Amino acid sequence: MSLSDWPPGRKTHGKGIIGTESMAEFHITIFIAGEETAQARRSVETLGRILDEQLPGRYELEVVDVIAHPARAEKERILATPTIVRQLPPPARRIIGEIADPQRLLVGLNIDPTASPEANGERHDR
Amino acid sequence: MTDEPTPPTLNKLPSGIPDFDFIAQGGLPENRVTLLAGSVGSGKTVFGCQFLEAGVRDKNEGAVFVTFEESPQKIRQNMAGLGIDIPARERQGAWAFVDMTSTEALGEVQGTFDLGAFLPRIEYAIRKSDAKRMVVDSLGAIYAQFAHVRSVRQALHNFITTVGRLGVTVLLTAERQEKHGSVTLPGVEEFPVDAVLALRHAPEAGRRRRTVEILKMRGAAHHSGEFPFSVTAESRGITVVPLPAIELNQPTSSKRLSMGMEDLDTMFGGGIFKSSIMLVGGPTGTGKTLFSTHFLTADPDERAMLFAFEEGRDQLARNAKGWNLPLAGGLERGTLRIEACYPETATLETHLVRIKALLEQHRPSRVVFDSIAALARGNTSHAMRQFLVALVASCREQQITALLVANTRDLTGGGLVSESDIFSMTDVIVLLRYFEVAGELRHGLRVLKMRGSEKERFMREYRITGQGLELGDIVRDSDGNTFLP
Repeated sequence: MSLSDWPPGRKTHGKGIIGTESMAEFHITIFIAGEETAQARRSVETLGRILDEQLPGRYELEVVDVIAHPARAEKERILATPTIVRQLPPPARRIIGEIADPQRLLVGLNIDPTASPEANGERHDR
Repeated sequence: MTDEPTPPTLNKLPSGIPDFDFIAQGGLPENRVTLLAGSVGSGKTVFGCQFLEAGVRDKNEGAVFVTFEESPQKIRQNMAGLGIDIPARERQGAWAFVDMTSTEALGEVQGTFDLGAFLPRIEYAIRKSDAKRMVVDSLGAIYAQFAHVRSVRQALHNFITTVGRLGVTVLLTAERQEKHGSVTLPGVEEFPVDAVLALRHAPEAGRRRRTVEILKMRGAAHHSGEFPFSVTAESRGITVVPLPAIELNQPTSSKRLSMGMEDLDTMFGGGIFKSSIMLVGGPTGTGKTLFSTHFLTADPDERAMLFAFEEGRDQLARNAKGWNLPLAGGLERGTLRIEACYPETATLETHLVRIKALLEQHRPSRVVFDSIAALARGNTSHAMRQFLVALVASCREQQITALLVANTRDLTGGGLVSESDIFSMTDVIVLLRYFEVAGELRHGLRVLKMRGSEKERFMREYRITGQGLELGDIVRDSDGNTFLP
């Protein structure tokens, strides 16, 4: 799979399907700068691989290129790339930077793959 | 002439800040970055917003405000207090914020990153509002957020070097630690900015005084030195006072105006020249306010204005009624305006800006400042001198005939001119004093100076009556000699 296959701003990865009708448990967005840059590709691929391993079939991933979609970056007040946002379940949670370590990613996004969906949504409030 | 290559000419973009463009000889370098350095509270954000607002208001140029420091909501609120309606500009589509405040925008840093969205968001805002002017506030806040990241410097460097391509004129603010220190911030000196301005807010004689200085203006002339400025709602923000650069011109008019007292006009050889600057001095109780009331009400058709720093407006009108002078009539007709204010409520610069604005509003041909001594309280003589120079200059500029009222300490009128440069600034000086004859205190008036005209050299007695101030005979001593200078 290559990034150029993905229409910008609305992407699917893994088993998830992006859209309002989406039923995926976790909705993750990654903001990158320039779809064609090696760094952006690497960031997206690394993230996709970890999510496939850790949350198979339970997530959807949206890739947003801030250069193509600056309004979206403005709206979500993104400054750094890559920024990875757990949009669902609420509350939103974001981390910045390249992450290759699955555990750091999950901790950073406050996701426990073994917990119930409700628990993942609530734990942040503790 | 030398053979050195001439630096490329920089176009200047008028800043829109009153009188700043005068000291900057045109404004800010167009399509370049100007660094605006200042301590906390020195007026950087006001300067920036005013610069943006002026572009929208005067030239229909869109504006972008990139904030790392205060939230857009906070900035909107603060500027509303100065009469800058940012939300209206936003609705108009002429003003866009790029909100880079709050750590929420960041999240937890887990690995290497770039400020990849920095330029795209700025470019998007520029396109959205069709911007020609931009403020980035502030460099220090950017560093505070990303102190550990090398890429910040890279992003800023890229940004500054690409500003020309973006077609915007940029003000980049930066903090200064010391009020007179160099503009040293991490990495600032390496930025290829084309102009550096410093705002200061430093105590002087127990009062804080705001100044602006142009430290650098590449390839372009500008006035050097610190120039005071004030921040007021009347002027929608900052007004610079270009004091040292003001030139003093003598009055050119040969038209004479009545002083409102026929005898006095005779003493002046037929009245005083239009747009003269006159000083009347004397100890308390000698009728200075009465003298100035005569001057104000001399011609009911002329517009006149009184700045009262000592007495309230009501009391003045009451006094004038007692003297049978038509002060109240002028107020009713609107030809006369009285502005009462307490000198301590503002700095001299703020008073000056306010006075200038009110003069432009009312457009009087005569004006009285009663008294300048009240204004001098709590200010250094240097600041007072600068204030008077600017005040006199703006009266001359608008061809206003001005009367400055001053107090003297001793009863015979000594100490009026010894301690200030006011003597050289004024065209006419009148001294009111007491003198004693056979144990009786009487009033005497003398014209000390009358530029460009004959004057009576003698001291005349005067009385304060129900009709106002009445001039009497030339004062002579018991041997019949006059009081000569």
